[in-house]
Amino acid sequence: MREENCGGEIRKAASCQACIWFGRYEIKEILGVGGTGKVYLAKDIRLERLVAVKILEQVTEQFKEEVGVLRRQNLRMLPMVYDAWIEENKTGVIVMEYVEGQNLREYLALHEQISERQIYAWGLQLGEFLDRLHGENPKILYRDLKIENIIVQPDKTLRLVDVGAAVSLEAEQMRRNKRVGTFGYAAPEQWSGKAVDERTDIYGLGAVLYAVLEGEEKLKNLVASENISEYGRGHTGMMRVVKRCLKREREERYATATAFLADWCRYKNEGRGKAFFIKAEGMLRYGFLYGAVYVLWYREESACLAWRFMAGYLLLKGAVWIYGMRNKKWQQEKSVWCRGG
Amino acid sequence: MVSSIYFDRGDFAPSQQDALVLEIVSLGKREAALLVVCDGIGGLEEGGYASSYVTMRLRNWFYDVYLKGGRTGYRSSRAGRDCIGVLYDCNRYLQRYGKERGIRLGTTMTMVLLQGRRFFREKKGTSLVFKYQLFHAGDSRAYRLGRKCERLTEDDSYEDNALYRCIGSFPWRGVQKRRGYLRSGERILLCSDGFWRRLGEEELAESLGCGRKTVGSLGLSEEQMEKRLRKLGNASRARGEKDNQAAVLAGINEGIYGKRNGFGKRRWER
Repeated sequence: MREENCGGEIRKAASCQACIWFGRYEIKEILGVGGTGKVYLAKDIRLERLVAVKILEQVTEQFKEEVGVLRRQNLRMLPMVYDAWIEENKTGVIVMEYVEGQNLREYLALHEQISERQIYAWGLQLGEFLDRLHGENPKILYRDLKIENIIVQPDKTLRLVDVGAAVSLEAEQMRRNKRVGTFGYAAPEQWSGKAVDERTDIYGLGAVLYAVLEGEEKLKNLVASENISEYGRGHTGMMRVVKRCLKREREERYATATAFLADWCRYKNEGRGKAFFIKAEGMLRYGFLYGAVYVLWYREESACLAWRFMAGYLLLKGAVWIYGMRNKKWQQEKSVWCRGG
Repeated sequence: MVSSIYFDRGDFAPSQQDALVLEIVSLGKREAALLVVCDGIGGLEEGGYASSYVTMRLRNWFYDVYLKGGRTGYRSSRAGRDCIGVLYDCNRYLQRYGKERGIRLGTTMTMVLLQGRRFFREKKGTSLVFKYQLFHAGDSRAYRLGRKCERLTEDDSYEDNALYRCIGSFPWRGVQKRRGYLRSGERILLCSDGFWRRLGEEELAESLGCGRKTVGSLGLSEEQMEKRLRKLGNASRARGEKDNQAAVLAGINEGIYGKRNGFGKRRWER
């Protein structure tokens, strides 16, 4: 095998068939091309494992931010970083864990129907990830949540790749008026270059979930039409939460990922309990109607079964009402907290 | 309920020492809201820290304690006592914090808790009413804007504008308390001294829609509220105000419910 040390030179992998970069990484194929750089699948010949090598043609502050985010051990959804350095010609190189699986866009194209349970689990995972990310000190914003950046692993769990847009909140506040993100997934304030905060990531999360529930084309039409009031059919409980994430005014969105998670879990649990009662109620309703007609038409006082149906229905109605009243929780309509120190 | 805020550091102030909170929640037809404005004192970051700390504690109390009291929250007297307990803790914490660092820091604090949803019978019909509880220490102000502009707080300062009561700088000296009702068409304005100092009450009343026709009318939309607050803030700046400015405006816009028609029967309308 001819060994060729390409060093910092960027060559297409196809023209460098047995290309060993940086004395260690054998390039297999190109995984993706983004605004910030290219990502290659490579094999670490020393440790005999597959890695992803990201080459940034021009090193900026963003390079340090990206490495800083990847280094954090507790953000398990992100790939682990093995190495990072800057070449003499100012090219940045990041070597990280190769995440096996399918891009979420490809996954959605291949699987027409995804179960509600699966979508709920994905929403939970992404919400928890954002919660941890925003809980870091200093707070980190992801800023580029979209279905291309999400990998569905063979066990159907999600991993995020490409933290090229991630930045700490403090650094973001210093660098305003710079547009970052993808149309359809970027919040209105992000797309217009204004200041962003955690609620920008909440918008991205809502956009991803909407794309999973209704399709990416519908998401882009929705964003273009600026009419968030058009819901999708079905998944009503989840859609309510997603709708709130996609509000144009950030004050109307969930203030934090924790608030999102609380509602996401609540609608799921409510849906389960409610569905049971609705089914049971439906069955007894027919019994009630039958019983009422029987008793009134035949005027039989000894129609015990009919009376039992009616009594059972009324009891169940009462139980549903009490269940609903006890489980009602306060809903956040507006949340603003402005401070300096 | 409609609401808006105004928050401006100013071009010449070295840092932002004001803080504000606006939280509105609903449970079916019931609503509750927390409005807080704090103006930090102690210079530079310390003042900002004090105001941020107090707003954070009140916000946490609102979500973790007050709303968990159930569908109706809990009795307003208990809510009032708990609020004062939180403020007492904040005062103690800030005093200890300042003592450890050899600095003196504190914050003014004006807070309004709006709760409930009641219907108040009047001659012309029935109007929507919220109960409010107000707690205050310092020289930020609260106004009720309805038929006229009514100031709800007294400044805790001497003639030379030196404060004699706030949260943190002094041993606990209590807070001003007030209760009342906010009816359809009325609004509550909380603002720091950087906002109200160069503006008169007549100017506030005129700009924020006070007058006989206000009560029972459709009132201002949120965009209109935001524009008017910004206009007042800019007017204050034009008169030489350099301090940080913070203002929260919240009110009820629904019209009169249940007008009686010629036959004495109630006809519901908005």
